Amino acid sequence: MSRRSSPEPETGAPLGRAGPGANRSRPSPAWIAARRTWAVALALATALAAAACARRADSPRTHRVLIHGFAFDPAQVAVAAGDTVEWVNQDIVPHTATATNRAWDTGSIGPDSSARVVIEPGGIGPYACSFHPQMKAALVRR
Amino acid sequence: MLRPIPSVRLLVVATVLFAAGSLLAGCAKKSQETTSASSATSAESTATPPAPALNDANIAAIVVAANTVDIQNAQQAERITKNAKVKAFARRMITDHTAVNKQAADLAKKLNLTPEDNDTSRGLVTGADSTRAQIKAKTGADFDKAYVDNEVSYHQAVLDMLDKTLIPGAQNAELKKLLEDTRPAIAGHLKMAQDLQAALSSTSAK
Repeated sequence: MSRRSSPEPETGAPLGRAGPGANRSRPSPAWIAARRTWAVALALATALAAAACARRADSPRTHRVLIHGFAFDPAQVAVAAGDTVEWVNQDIVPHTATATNRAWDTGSIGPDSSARVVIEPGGIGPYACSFHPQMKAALVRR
Repeated sequence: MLRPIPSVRLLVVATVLFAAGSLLAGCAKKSQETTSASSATSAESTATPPAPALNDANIAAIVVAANTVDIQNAQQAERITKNAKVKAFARRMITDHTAVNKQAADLAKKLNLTPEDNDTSRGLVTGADSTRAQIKAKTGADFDKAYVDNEVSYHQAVLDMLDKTLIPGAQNAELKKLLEDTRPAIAGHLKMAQDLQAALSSTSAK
């Protein structure tokens, strides 16, 4: 087949809503329509799956950690640099989330309050509440 | 007009679902979603009911007294101690017990509950007054040790009172919840006091 100017998929089926009558040379119209449906559906599925994959693997995410009962929950969160971690204090006293290497620190989070930190590459590692040092948790690499 | 015959359509749908599903499953392996599963720490409730029946107004008074005692102990310690760790601990006790007292006061107001003093709340205050005087008579490392030792036994006593008397005795659900929420704070403070106690004894041993 010679080169064509239209950006038509290789199925050879006409674009748009044009009826199969426009090109009724070889395969039956029903077969053409079926092939078109196939192509569109497969393209859609691939695009959806690829988009979902990309979002999961690459783009920044937000993670929520609850503080209750003098503990971080969950105690371990898998993050990538650029992700945001939000701590929600459900206890009746103030807490902090403070990186052990001091790369980041939420400062005091009062009862029923929250704080967010965007994690930089050096910020992945253990952390604790600076007010109550027995409250230990960790960010690990995802 | 012309459409794919139904069986073809069905096949298409099934294949698309399968293809999308397997692709997603593939990348799902790479990512570990972290969901926050809450693990509630529950107080072990004992079956024995409190000996003298306390009403909610009594319980509110005990909560306020217990917090106030620890704030006053801490204020004295913060003023007198030269030890940075002891000072930081005392400051934390002031902040946390003030926060708990504020919540207790807010709840009492909301419930129209006027704290009503009773033998337990009065006993806490008078006992603490004499203990504080004894601690104040000491100096330097002896003072620090006396303060921190008392913090260990005091928080242990409050924890026991919460578990055996206050939580089982509270009638109002919100008051009971406040007491249950207070428990991990008291347990956390006990742990901090014990850690500080150990740190002080290891420095004094050198």
